[in-house]
Amino acid sequence: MKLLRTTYTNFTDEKLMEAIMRGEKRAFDELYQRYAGPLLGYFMRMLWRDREKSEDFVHDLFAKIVNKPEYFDPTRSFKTWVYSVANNMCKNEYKKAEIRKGTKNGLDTHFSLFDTTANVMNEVQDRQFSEAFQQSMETLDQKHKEAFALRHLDGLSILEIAEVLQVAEGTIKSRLFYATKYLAEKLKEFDPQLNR
Amino acid sequence: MMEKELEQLIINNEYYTLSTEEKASLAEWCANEDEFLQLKQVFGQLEGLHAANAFVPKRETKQSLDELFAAKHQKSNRVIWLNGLGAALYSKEKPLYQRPLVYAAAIGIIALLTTPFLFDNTPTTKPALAEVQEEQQKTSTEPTVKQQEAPKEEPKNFIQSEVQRDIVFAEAEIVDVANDEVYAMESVSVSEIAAAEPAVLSRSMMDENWTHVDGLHPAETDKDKVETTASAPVSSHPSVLDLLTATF
Repeated sequence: MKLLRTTYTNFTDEKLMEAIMRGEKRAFDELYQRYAGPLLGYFMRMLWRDREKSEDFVHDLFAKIVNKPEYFDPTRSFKTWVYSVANNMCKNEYKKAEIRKGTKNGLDTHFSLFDTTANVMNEVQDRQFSEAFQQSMETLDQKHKEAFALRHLDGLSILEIAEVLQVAEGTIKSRLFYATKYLAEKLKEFDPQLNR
Repeated sequence: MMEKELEQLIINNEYYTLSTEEKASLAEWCANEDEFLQLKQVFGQLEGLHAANAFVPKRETKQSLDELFAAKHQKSNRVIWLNGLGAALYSKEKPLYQRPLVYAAAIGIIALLTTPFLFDNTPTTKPALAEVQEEQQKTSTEPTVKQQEAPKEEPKNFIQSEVQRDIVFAEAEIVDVANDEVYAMESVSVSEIAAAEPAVLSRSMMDENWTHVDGLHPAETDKDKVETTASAPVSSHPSVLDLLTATF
């Protein structure tokens, strides 16, 4: 018989989902605390750094978890499942944007906040590197960008990324290699050693 | 070599410290030192970028989700609680002997069976003192009858008659002592005290409104049985003052 209050901090994501299905609010709070920030960051990167839209997407994703927790398959990893859902939401948004704007890749050019031709040779501060990195990420094509973001910014393994994007592991490795080389080439101006 | 190991190799080493085997494994990623440095910079900056990009959703988002959750699970709260209670008491996942409800039932049965033995301390034969006390109670309730019947009946045993006789004597002594005390208390009457101190007599001691202004000070006074403590200032009794000065 349970006399003490359950502590959910030690629960796995999958166990938390089972508790959420039973209607335990604190389990939902714990899951939100774990994933709301990373998912917001993911949506920010994937949705042209549109903060409001990203907030809405986070809300919609967690609303799905509240309303339809049975959609989650407990035999799967919650992390890959939730990023799969997030990725599908982004794809749907790209389609909508493509219809609205008539752009080829679904990206609205008005959302491109960075000038790719800007001269950043004279500034090597971290903040500027961060901005340049975001800029370079925006110029990556979608499949490379999502693989790179999931790997290096969301901390998913290659296997998890393969599950999320539903492609082979070799393909993910290839995309990561291409994206890394591309970004390294784009950002080489920031390294003083390279400017010798 | 795994991707992660390659990244760590690039982040944690300088190009000139790499062995030929390591350089060979990195050949696909970087063919020369410049490419190596480019990758090193990207991976190094990504670590800081990861921390800097920690996003915090707005509070309104969470509040909205909380309301949604409350609306979703409000109706079924009671059912869930009862289910939880039932599952906790009689969990089907555990063996029968480990279920709390079975524990409780077993404890109840044991308590039910052992209680009669624990509290069954009634003696089969009454001890002599208990019999005497019982007899004493009968005599106290019906003293005249007992006294009349006593000569007719033979005492059951010697001890009973002796104890009973002692008790009667003790009660008689208690009555005598009480009578002596009443007599002693009555013997010291207010009138005698008043006669000893005529100056104070002018104030009526038995008066309800009497106050002890430089006169007799009554202690705990019972109207029916007067027990009075007399006191007066020495100034009003020079003879007493003389006695005191002569003594000390």
